[in-house]
Amino acid sequence: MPAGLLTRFLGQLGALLGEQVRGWLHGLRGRLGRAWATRPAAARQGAILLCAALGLAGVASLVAQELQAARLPSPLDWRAAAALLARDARPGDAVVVAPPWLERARELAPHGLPVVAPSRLEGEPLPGVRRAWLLGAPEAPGGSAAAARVLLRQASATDARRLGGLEVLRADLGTPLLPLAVLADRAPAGAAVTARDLHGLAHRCLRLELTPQAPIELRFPAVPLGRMLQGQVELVGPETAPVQLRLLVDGEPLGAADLAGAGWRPFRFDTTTAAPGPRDLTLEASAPAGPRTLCLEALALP
Amino acid sequence: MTSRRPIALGWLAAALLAGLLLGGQAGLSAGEVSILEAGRAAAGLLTRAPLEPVTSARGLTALSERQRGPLLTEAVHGFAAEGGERIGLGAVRGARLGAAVAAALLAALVALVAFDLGGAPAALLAPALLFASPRGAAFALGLSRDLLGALFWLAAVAAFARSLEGETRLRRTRAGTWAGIMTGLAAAARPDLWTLVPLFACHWLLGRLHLAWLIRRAPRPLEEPPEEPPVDWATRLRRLPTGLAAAATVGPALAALATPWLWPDPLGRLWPALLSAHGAGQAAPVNPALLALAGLPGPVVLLFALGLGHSAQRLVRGLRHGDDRRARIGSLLLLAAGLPLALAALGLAPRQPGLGPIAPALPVLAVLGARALTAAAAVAWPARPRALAAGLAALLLAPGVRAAIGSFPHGRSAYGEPADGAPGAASRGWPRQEGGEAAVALLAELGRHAVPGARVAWIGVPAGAVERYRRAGLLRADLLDAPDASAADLAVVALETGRRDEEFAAWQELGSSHAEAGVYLDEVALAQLFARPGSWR
Repeated sequence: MPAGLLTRFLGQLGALLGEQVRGWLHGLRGRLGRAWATRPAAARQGAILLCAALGLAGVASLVAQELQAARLPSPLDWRAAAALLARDARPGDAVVVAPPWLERARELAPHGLPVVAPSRLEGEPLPGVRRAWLLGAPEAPGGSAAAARVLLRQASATDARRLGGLEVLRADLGTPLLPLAVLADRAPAGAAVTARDLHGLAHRCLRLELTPQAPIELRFPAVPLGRMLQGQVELVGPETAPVQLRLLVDGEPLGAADLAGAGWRPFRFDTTTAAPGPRDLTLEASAPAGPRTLCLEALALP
Repeated sequence: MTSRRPIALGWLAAALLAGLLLGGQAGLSAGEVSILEAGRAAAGLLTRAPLEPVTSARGLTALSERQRGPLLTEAVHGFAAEGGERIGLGAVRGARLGAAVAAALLAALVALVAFDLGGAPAALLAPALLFASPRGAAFALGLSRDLLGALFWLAAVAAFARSLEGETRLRRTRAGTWAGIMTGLAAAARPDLWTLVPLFACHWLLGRLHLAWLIRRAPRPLEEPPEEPPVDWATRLRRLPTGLAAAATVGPALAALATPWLWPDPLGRLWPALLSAHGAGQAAPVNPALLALAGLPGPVVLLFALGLGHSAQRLVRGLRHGDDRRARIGSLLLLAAGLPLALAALGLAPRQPGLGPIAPALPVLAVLGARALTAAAAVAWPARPRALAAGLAALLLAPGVRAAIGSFPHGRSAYGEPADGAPGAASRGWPRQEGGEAAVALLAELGRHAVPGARVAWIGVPAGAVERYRRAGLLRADLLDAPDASAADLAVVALETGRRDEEFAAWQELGSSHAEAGVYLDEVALAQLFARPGSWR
């Protein structure tokens, strides 16, 4: 008996609810119909949509500004990175920034810790660097993981950490390029040492002004030689005259290179034939066909 | 009385006041220094001209040859800078007096033209659209051929429009003469703006073509019309609009008058002068029009595009409904906005970073954009059009105003959010600044920390700018200029894209690559200061 009453009650309730919902739907349909009948003209609809789009564009622009600021490292992130470098960096370390415009690092890195901002890291040797600290902003515009990938490939051990908008990756280079000697450091008296740009990296080099009448001979006493003498020459200026380089070890010719064109030109002399140890090195540069200015970077490699 | 003049005067006063207040804080770029140095020489020669006409003429010819163009911009800014300094505005603020006046006049003119086209709301909005962004504000504050060029371009177009629709012949003639004079002044301020003459000619020809088309479409009368008497040349010439005739005669004459280099051999030097005016020999790794538009906030560019679209729509409607006035003015405005954009995109405008290449189009675009916005608001909400337009304008201008405040005084380094701002531009290798102006923000630090009598090498910072900073008291008096980094204790480096040999050589000479101070915009380094050990306290 109670079950029957309950069934009838629920049935009545369902019917009432259904009627109510049908009433609502009917009313809504009527209201929508009236709204459609009295809708604005097409031109006004277009203008309303256009105004809405313009308003949205303004809001989107403000949001984009906020998001862009959030993708950049904050002053706190920079302070944290500076503290980390001050605590953990040691001789033989260098800071690599990516993207290269992130050069606030030059201001915040401890004194004496080199900071490099290469436009590309692939194929760029970092002479004298045992550990590279990558300060990156991968989420910033132009930020990418390319520099990190290059360092990870070369690293024997790594330590990565996130400092807000900055990503700090310490890469212990597996096979660091540790020259036995850098000729720019042993420049004889009178030779000008400067630094030139290659892919955003400063290359210290000897600046030589050659004329056809006056070849230049540079002597470097007691240079520790290893496997090879490797380097590159930047041929500066619009002139086209070729340049000849000759290397003499203890007065004996060891190799020669002919360089032409403009820009950086690599060279490599095999020094394994010379007895290892400190040797007197002579570099002869000449430009018989015309005047030429060049910058010579050379490293004695083990 | 309508609100036309009060709005224009209000904009004039506001722009002048802003220019005078803010003009002393932004750094001087290489281009500005070049204008100031040539301007000082031009002003001196012109002042002496009544007493020594031959010497002055020779001097002006040499100066014009060096600048490879007319001297109007230089002379105007030279006199204004001299006056500004004499009335006590200082060496930097005073130097920018001419720019402040030009920007004020441009703001007022934009408001007047916008009022005529779109009423008071458009007049209130249009100058804001032009100046309320980092680059727009920098455009108004900086000395350039572009600001004066944009002012005279808009004035010439407005006068030409009046010459087409004046009620009386006298008014049309007067307006046409003004169009010619303004064309000449525009070409004398920025020589590539001689293109106003072909613009007016093109507009007239389009009108003639439209007329011919209407006549062809008109139903032919049943009877043969009586034969028309032959038309003589004088009558044909009278059909030419006065504005076009004046622009084609007075314009080149004024431009030639302002270019003394042309005087000895006008025909022989015309072609090199034109080539130079259109950017021949200037390197532009990125399309100048793209670079200029990327420097503006997204909503402003959107509104400019909307303005062009709205104008094109009005033109089509005008043609369809036979509304000659609407078609005439619409086509003139479209040509006036489109031609500089097209020339810049084709690399035929001066190829420089910043808004310069498209500068003449900007005031016209601002007017069209403001008119389009007010028109859309009026249609969308007829009961409250002004409230809707004001709300939308606030939303659309807010990003630009916010960025302008945030980036000041480095507005010339700012880029819009569609280009990902300054970081996005730096990542693409786009210019970080126009010519060493960001270094001004290092001067306070330099004054606080440099050891007494330190010698400073300025790398990428124009020497003329340093001299003005010193005279303005922004640079400590005891600091000396070093001829190069080898003789320097400190080096201030304005950072740019491209090779950095000088900076790296300075590190080598100073024995340090540690930056002691720097200027950054959205983390992009614009200038840094390096010191020899012991030279920085």
